[in-house]
Amino acid sequence: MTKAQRNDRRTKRRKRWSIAWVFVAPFLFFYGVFLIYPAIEVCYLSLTNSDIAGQGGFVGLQNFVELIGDQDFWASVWHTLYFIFLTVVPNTAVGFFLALLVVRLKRLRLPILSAFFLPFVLPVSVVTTASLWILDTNFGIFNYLVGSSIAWFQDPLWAMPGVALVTIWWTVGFNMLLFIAGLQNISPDVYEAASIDGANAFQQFTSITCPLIWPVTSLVLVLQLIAQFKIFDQVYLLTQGGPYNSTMVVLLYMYRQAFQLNRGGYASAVAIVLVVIMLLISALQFRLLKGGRAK
Amino acid sequence: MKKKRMSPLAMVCTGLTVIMALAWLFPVYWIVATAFKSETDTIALPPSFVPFPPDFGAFIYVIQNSPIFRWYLNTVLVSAVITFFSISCALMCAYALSLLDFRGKGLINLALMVGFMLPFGAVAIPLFMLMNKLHFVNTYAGIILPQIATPLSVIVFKRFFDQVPIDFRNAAVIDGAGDFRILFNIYIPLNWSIIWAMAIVTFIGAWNNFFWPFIVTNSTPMLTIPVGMTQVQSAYGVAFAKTSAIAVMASIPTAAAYLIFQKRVTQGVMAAAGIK
Amino acid sequence: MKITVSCLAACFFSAVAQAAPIQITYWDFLGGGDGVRMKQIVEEFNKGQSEIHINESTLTWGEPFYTKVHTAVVSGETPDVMTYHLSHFPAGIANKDLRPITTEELTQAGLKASDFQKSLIDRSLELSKTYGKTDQLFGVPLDIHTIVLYYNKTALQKAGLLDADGKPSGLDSIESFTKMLAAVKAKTHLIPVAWSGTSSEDPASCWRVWYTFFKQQNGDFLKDGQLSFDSVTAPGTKALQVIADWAKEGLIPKNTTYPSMVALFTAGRGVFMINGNWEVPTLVDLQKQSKLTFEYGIAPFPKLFENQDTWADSHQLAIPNNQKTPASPEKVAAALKFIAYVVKQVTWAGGGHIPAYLPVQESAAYKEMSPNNQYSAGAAKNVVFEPGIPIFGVGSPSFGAISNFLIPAINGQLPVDKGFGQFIAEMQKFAKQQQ
Repeated sequence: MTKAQRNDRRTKRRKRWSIAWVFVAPFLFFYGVFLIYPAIEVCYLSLTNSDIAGQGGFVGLQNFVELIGDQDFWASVWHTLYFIFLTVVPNTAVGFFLALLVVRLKRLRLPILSAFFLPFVLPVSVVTTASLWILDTNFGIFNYLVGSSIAWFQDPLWAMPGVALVTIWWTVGFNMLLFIAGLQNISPDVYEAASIDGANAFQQFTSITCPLIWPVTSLVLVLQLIAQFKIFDQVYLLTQGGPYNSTMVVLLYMYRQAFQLNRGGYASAVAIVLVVIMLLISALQFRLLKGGRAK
Repeated sequence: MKKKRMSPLAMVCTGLTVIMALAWLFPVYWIVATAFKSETDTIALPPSFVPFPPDFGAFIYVIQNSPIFRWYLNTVLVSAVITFFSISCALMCAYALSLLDFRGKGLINLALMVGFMLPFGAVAIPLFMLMNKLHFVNTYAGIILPQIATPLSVIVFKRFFDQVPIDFRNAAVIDGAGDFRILFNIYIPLNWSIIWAMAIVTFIGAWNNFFWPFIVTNSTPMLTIPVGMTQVQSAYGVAFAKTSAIAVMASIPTAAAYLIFQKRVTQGVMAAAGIK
Repeated sequence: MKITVSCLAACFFSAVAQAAPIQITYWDFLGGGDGVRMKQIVEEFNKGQSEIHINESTLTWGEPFYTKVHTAVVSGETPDVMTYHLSHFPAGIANKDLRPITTEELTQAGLKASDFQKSLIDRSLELSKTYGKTDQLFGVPLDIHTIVLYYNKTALQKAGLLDADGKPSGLDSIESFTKMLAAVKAKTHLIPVAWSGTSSEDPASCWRVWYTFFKQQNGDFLKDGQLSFDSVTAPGTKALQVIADWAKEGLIPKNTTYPSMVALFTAGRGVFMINGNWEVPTLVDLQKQSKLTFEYGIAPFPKLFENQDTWADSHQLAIPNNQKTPASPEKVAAALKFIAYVVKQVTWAGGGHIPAYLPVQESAAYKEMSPNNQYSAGAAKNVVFEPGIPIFGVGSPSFGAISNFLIPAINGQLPVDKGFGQFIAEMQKFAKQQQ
C-alpha cells in the first residue's frame, strides 16, 4: 500500500464519519436541547429553591429532606401505585380477552376490531368529557340503565376505579392489537397436532396459547407499566386529584407545586423521586417477567 | 383447515362479541346523540335514545362562542409540522445508526433507551423554563419543538433498515451514490408503508397530545383542540349538549384518519411496540 | 426550523395586526350567560369605535385561570386587560400579578372612585394598602355577585308552603327553614334543595353557603385585622352541622356536580336552589323558550341566624403586571377606555349581577329589570366578602381544604367536629407557608 493510498483511505473514513454525524445531527439537536438538557437541568433544579421562572438559589438537599416528611407527596406516590395496580394487569387481561374474541372472526373481524380500537385514537379530553357525562351521578346514562347511584368521580371509594375504568376503555384497543398479532404468529399446525393428540379446546388454550403468547404478554405488561406511571391527563380532567385528594397522583402533585404554588425547585425534586421509583419498579418487573418466561 | 358450518357454541361466541363491541361503542354513540339534543332534552327523563329531530343548537353555540376553527387550524398546523420534522429527523438518524459506522454510536443508542423510559412530565418544568427564556411560551414553536425528537420512530426505522439486504447499499455505493441519494432512492421507497404508518401514528399522537400544549400555551387563540375544548366546559349552567358537541368536533379528524387509514394505523402501532 | 416556525407564527399574527386600531388582548373566565353577555359587550365596543380592537379570550374559571395569569406574568406574555375576582386580590397583589391603576389614569378614562359602590372601593383600597403598600386601585369594579334563594313556586304552592305574598314560608330561622324543607320532602317527594357538593369539581358552592351561615352567626377569621382561628370553631362547626344534617335527612343530594345541581332545579326535580345570581339568565332564557314547567321565584338569601350577612364577591377589570415587557401608556389608556365602557353597560346586569357603577345601579333601566328587582335591593345590602387574606378566595388553597375536609363532613364521611378541626389545621398550615 502506498502512502497516498493510505491517506486516501483515512480521508474517506473521516468523510464517512462526518456524513454520519450530519445524518444524526438534526435528531440529536432536538433530542439534546429538548429532552437531555432538561433531564440534566431537573437534577440541578431539585437542589435549588427556584420559582417557575427559574430564579432561585442553591439549597442543597433541603427539598429532598422536606419531601421525605411530606405526607401529601407520599400519598400521591401511593395513589399512583394504586392506579397502576388497577390498570396494568386488568388492561392486559382485557386486551388478551378481546384479542381472543376478535381473532376467531372472519368477515366481522375488521368492524369489530375497529370498534374496540376506536376509543384509542380519540383525544383524552374527549374521552373524559364523555365519561363525565355518561357516569354523571344524577343524569348519566350509566346510572339510569344500571339503576345504580354511584357517584363515580365524587366518591373517594370509586374515584380511582372510575379513572382506571375510563383508562381501560380508552387504551385497551392498543393491547388488543398486540395480542392479535401475537396470536396470528402461532402456527395453526401446533393446534392441529394437539387436537390429533386429543387435547380439548381448554387444554389447547392453557398449554399452547398461553405459553406461546407469553413474550407478547410480558411486552404489554412492560409498556403498560411505563405508560401508567405517567398518569396525569385523565386525573386532571376527571377529578383534579379529588375527592379528598384520593386521586392525587405524582405528576399532578408536581404540576400543582410547580405551576400553582410556584415552587419549581421542589417540584423538580418530586420529578426525580418519581423517576427513581419508576426505575426501581421497572427493574423489579423485569426480573419477575424473566422468571415468568423461564417457566 | 376444513370449512364447516358454525357450531352453536361458535355462534353464541360471535353473538357475544358483537354485543360487546356495540357496548364498547355506546359511549361514542351517546356523545354524538347528546350533541344533537337541546339542553333541556339532555336531562329529560326517561332519556331519549335517538335525538329526532336533531337539534343543531349546541353546534351553533360552539361555533359562535368558541374559536373552534382557529383551534382546528392550530392543531392541524402543529401536528403536520411535528409529523414532518419528526419523521424526517428519525429517518436520517435511523439510517446512520443502521448503516454507518461512527464513533459515538453506542452512546446514541443508550440515549435513545433513556428517552424511551423517561416520562415527559419529569422534564416539563425545566422545559417550560427553557421555553420561557427563549420567549417560546404561548407560541407554535413552543408547542412543536419538544415534540419533534421521538426516539420510538428512530428505533422502528432502524429495525426496518436493518432488514434491507446490505447488497442494495453496496451496489449503490459502487455506482457512486452518496448516502443522501441512497436514503431517498432506496431506503425510503423500500420502507414506504412503515414510514407512512408511523407518520399517521405520529400525527394522531401530536393531535391528541394534551399535557405539553396545556402547559406551554396560555391564551385562547393559541390552544390546540384537546386543550381548548376543556375551556368550553364552563362553570355555569347546564351544558351537556354543548360539551358533547365540541367533543364530537374535536374527534372527527382523528377518528376519520383512523377509519380511512385503518391498516396503516394498525401496522404503525404494532411496529411501535416492536411486534412486526 | 425555529425560523420557519416563528415565521409561520408571525404571518399568522400580522394578518390580525395589520388593521390600524390598537389591539387589546382581553382574558376572562366567563362562561354560560355571563360569557354571552360579555361577548355582546365586546362586540358592541368593537363596532362602536375604530381606535381600539378587543380580542377576547375565555379561560377556565377558578384556579386554572389564576394559574395561567401567573405563568403569563412570569413569562411576560400577558393580556392587556382581564377579569379578576375581588377575593383573589390579596393573592394577586401579593404575588405581583396586578398592576396598580393610578388616579390620573382613571381620570383620563373618565372614571372616578366615588362613582362606584363605596363598599367595593373601600375593600379594594384596604387590600391595596395591606398587600401592595399603595393607595391606588388594582382593579375597576364591575359588579357585586352574591348567593340568592331560587324556589319553585308551583311545587311550593301545591304543598301549601307559600305564604300570602307568594314567598316561601319558614325563612325566619334556621330551625323553621329546616322544618319547612322536611315538609317539602314529605309532601312533594322532590329533592328539597338542589345542591352541588362535590369536592373536586365544585367546592365553591358549599363554601358560599357555609361562609354565609358562619358570618350570620358573627363568625370571623380576622381579629384586629389579623388572621386568627381563635373564635371560629363554635360558629363554624354549627354552620357545618346544619348542612351535614340536611344531607343526612336527605334534604340535599350528595355528590352532585354543579351542572347537575342547575339541571335538577331547572328540570323541576329540586324545589329550592341556593346558588349565585349568575344563574338568573339560565331561568330567564328557559322561561322565554317556555321550557320551564313551573313558575320560579328568587329571594335575597334570608336571615337564618343572627344577621343577614350573605357571601359575595365582585368581578373586577384589572391590568396584569407585565414587568418583562411593560404595557405602553397607549395600551393602558386603551385598556382603561374599554374598562370604562364595560362598567357602564346595563347589559352586564342581565347576568343577574348588581352593577358596581352607581349611575348604572341607579338607572331606571336597571331598576326595571326583572327578575333582578326581586332580590337585588335586598341582596346588595347584606353582602359580606371573603376574608382579605391570600389563602382565601377563588382559586386559593382554601378550596383544597374545603374539598378535603368540609365536604366529607357534609357527606357524612367524617364527623363534623373532626372535619372542621382538620379544615382549620390545614388553613393554618397554608397561612404558615405564605409567610
